[in-house]
Amino acid sequence: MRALAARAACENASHCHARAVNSRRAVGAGMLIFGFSLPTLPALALGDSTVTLEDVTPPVAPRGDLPPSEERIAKLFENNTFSVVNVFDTTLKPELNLTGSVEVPEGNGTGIVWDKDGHIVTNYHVIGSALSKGLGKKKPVARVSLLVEDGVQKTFQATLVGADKTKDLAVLKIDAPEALLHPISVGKSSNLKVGQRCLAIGNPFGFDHTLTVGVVSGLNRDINSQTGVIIGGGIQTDAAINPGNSGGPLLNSEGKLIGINAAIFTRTGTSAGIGFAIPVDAVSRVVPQLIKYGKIMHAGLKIQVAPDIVAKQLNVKKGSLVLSVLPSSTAAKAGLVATRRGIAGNILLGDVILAVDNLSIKNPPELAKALDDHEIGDRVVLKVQRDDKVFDIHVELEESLN
Amino acid sequence: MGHLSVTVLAQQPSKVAMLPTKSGFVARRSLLMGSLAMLQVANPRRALGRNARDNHDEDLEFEMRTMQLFESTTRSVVAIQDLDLSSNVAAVDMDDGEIQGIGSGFVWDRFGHIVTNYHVISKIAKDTSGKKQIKVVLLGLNGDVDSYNAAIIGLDASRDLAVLKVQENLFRWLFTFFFSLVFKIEVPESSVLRPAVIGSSKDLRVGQNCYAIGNPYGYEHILTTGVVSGLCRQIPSPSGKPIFGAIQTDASINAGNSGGPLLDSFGRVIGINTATFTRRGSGTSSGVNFAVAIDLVRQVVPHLIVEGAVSSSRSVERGVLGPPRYLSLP
Repeated sequence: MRALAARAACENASHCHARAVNSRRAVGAGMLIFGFSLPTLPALALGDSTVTLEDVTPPVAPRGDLPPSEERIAKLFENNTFSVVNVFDTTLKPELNLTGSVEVPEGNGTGIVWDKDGHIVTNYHVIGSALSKGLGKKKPVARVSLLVEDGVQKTFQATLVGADKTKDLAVLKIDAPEALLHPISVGKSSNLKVGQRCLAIGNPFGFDHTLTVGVVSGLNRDINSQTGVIIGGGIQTDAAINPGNSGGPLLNSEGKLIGINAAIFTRTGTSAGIGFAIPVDAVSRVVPQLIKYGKIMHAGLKIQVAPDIVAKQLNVKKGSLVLSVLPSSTAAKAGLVATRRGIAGNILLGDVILAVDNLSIKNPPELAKALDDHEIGDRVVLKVQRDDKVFDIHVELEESLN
Repeated sequence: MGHLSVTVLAQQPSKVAMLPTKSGFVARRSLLMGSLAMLQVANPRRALGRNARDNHDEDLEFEMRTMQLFESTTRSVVAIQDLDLSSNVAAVDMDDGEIQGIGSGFVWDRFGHIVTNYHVISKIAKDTSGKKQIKVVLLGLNGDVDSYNAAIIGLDASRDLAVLKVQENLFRWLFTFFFSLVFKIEVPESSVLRPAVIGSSKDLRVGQNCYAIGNPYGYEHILTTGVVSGLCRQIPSPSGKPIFGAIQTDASINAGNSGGPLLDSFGRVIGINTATFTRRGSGTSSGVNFAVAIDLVRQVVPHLIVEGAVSSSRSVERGVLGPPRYLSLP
């Protein structure tokens, strides 16, 4: 009981001026009755002399093993973080976030180790500055930092292998020993379901190898990429994605790549829980082409078709009118006939393509998209109208003209 | 004279309130400083090869664990409020001033020491008018909400830490004293104060769940959940010097839960919610949030309590945080 009283007495702060007069009287009365003096609490922030260091050092409670779900995610991160790299565009001046003395250099983005040859996949806009300066292939465009076993980051010069603006993807190459390269394992995006867990690893605001976790929020979204192009089929997620996460992986709960983080919807410039990733199925189609050819070859025919205005003048209302056919092309070999002049100087219309593989074509852009959906080398069936006859032409696709 | 300010709310505060509610008769004007009340309960996706019943049990177990975590840590998280008496000239009673919720804190020990961030109380610490008083509000037994005056015991601006001490007000003390005298019952010291369980930050792993709790008004909890996003980060402190070894998380940290504890799934404190990274001072959380590591706190706070301040030499960090932890290749 006495201990309680003595301790309570110490707790009356004398510096608390606002305490009303009445309470001081009560305190005074209490003092008189109980005969102890009221020691004053020392002035602001000079410590509490009533306790010792041992009294106020609490023990550390032990913990057991992590619950299985947390253990899985921790292991997923540990296994996959070595496949994630920092990408710094060398043509940009390093932007230092100066907050007091802490300088967090803001790396431009993130990249993914694709294979043991040292190919790194990232977004086109991450190295957009270098690309817009027209640095050719085999020129160093960026610095890439790999995470090495002893915790250090090793930086390499990266050269450009290929880039495609329409898909916001770019492939770089670094000359790193195979032992340091840990390619990501690639999954599929065609069977994704809204609600499934996904993990993003990246370098938001320069904080390297940051893990954020969320779910697939939506599928088949149109991504308004920074390159000014609309990319379809995007995966939407609420895992926090911020500037710096671009080009980084979106993984499923098995640690397989399901997308490449590319954009966020925000009014503040930072994550609002709406992030978008390019689906891995698109990436898997594009990256091997970028590696092999340095660009994406769009499948099509080496022909020129009439734009809408010309087609209208020539009274072609539906389909794509073939204006010219390159002589050595597969289209020529298949017998596609171009528009030409007759002996009397009149215009003889060429073939009008009405459908590709039974998909009807209304205008030239639809023809281009229908052909682009195929690969080079695919054989397609064109429904063609010549004069007043409609028949099929089989043709092999090659690289389109434009 | 200072009177007991006990408000018994119509709702049961011992249950965790997920959304902020303003109880009608608690007529306090408090500035809402952008508190978010989001509960994101993670639902782990089924891994291949596990049968449905296992997964369902695991999900349920996870939810139960989460709920129990809050039931047990609720009473350790306190609200820190700033009572400004200068706005009411005729104030006689302590509680007639304007109260602002300014952040959270948690109970460190049974002596009534409360740990919070320096920036939560820095304005009051610098105030010389004497017209500001820090109030600490915590849940007592039976769900009562009790408000106490608090004194600043120790400050460390370069690690963004502060220690307060709760002063049981005199009337309550007299009451308990007489009560126990008359009925010859020993009033347990720790009946009101429920110290938090302290953990360790050195065995943290990126990817494990963490829970940030705040209690800005004293009767409701802000709970945000997420995972440990990164470790050994450097963040700025109010003094300008960097704080080392900070824990990065995607659980939202904002003004409401600043100063409160960051817990792991075992209910142990692993950090103190401190800051969020925002662009252009937007004030909205970006998913890149930070907590001061508990190992550093555990080294510094006892000195703050006993001495009031701690030397800013880096030997404390070197001894405690060690070299950054590295992952080994799989």
